[in-house]
Amino acid sequence: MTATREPVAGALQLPGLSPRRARRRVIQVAGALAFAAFVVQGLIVVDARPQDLVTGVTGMADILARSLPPSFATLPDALSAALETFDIALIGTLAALVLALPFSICAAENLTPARPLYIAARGVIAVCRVVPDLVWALLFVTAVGLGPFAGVLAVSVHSIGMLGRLFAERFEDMDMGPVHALTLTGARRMQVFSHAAVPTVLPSLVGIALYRLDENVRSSLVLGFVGAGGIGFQILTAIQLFDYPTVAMLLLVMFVLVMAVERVSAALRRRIL
Amino acid sequence: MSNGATRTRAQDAARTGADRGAPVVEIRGLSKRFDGASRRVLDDVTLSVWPGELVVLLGPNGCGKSTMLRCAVRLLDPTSGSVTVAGSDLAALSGNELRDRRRQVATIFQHGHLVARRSALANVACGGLGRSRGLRVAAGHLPAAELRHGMECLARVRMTHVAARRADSLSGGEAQRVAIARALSQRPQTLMADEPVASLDPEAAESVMELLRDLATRDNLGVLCVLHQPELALRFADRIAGLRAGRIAFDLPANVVGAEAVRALYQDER
Repeated sequence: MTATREPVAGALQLPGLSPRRARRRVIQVAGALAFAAFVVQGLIVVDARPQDLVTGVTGMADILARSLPPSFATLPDALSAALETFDIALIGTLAALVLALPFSICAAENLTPARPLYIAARGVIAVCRVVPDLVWALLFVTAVGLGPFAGVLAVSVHSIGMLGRLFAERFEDMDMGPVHALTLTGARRMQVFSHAAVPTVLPSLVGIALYRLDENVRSSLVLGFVGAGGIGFQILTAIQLFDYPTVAMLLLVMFVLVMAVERVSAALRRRIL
Repeated sequence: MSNGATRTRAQDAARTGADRGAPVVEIRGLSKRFDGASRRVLDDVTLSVWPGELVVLLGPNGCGKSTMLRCAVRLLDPTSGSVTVAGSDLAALSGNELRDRRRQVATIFQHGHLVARRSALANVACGGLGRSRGLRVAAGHLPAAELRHGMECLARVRMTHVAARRADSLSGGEAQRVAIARALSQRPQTLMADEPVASLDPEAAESVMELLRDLATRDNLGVLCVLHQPELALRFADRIAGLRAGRIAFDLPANVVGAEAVRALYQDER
């Protein structure tokens, strides 16, 4: 451990610094420069021109002026669209929940019944997650046509990936003590799972699912833009008709919906955990 | 189950070497080498436990005590050797047969390993899961009969007053007693304890050791307890087996083991 080592490169020797500290300083400077270069390339690639925002602000003001006041006549329509959006998220999340649970058990290293199942489950979860829900929606619209059902399918398939991964991680992190203890009592696999693993992780699984519901409400809004029903679809239609007061109304309802779901899901999660 | 004939006082039997019937656990030639390791953690360990006796496996840290216990209950697969429980070799069983045999050997650990969010009673009743079948139990339901029996087991460890409390609200000593009650609800013949008092304060440690002693004497259980405190071993055990670098250094009645032999166990410890 304490064997003396020759400094690797004498050239790194800076006055007043030990070789080791000098080396660390060089690494720090190089790291900072690399990070700066990274950020600069990012700014160039995204074509960042803040001055355009300043000159273009009148356009935004114009569109705002044309949206006001929101069209209250369209409120009932907006509400039913909002309900549709919420239901897409709700049904999509529930369906994902039912399917994600077995996948996540297979995909958790400490619970998986067999190695091939583990690999298969990890694969399914990865594909579901990596393909964005927007792409799933486009796929399902071609299969089942325009409408909320395509949205439900897209939300649930993508959520299987998200929930599956988080659930599996939660299972892998759990305290295995009770699981081993019950295994040693001669309990069956399924009994050990339901009597030791489930009570241990259930609150955090419910928390994850509630958070997912909240995310899914937001993503089902966006899915409307590709034809998967709900309030997003209404916004798209109104924009295409240049009906900005209706757009404003829809955005208002959407804002209330998202805030409400976020609040309720956060409050429920606080209670459970 | 049919131990009527073997209800001799273990101490007497150990002293005289008289016929004590069949051991509840018979460990023979147990060796364990971890994958990639050159040294054997356990080397040809042979040890038996008879009903009604408290055997302490004593040794310094890293001598293989816990590994031995884990091999004995098949939390680890031994490299070679056999562990005979009720006539069959645990090391050679799998599936349903292994589960059946496991029910007769109860294990407790340094920590209670209770399911934190369930009541103490529910935790205890879980010890009887191996006897239950069916979908409701597989889905997390505990049969009423097991809950009743769980209450009896809690009474045996004098813990009925915590029955309704959540397991994560119990103190270390309380949790360990509840874990012992869960072990009893298996209706075992043998109790294996892996450093059951290592994380308890002296008072709680004392009472847990007294309980283990009492379970051997009054309930005729064979108790194999891994400890690293020689003074507790000398006070509570019928028999002490000293383990040193993976080998049994001595296996003697507690009243015969000298301080010298115990000190020798710890001499190599750095």
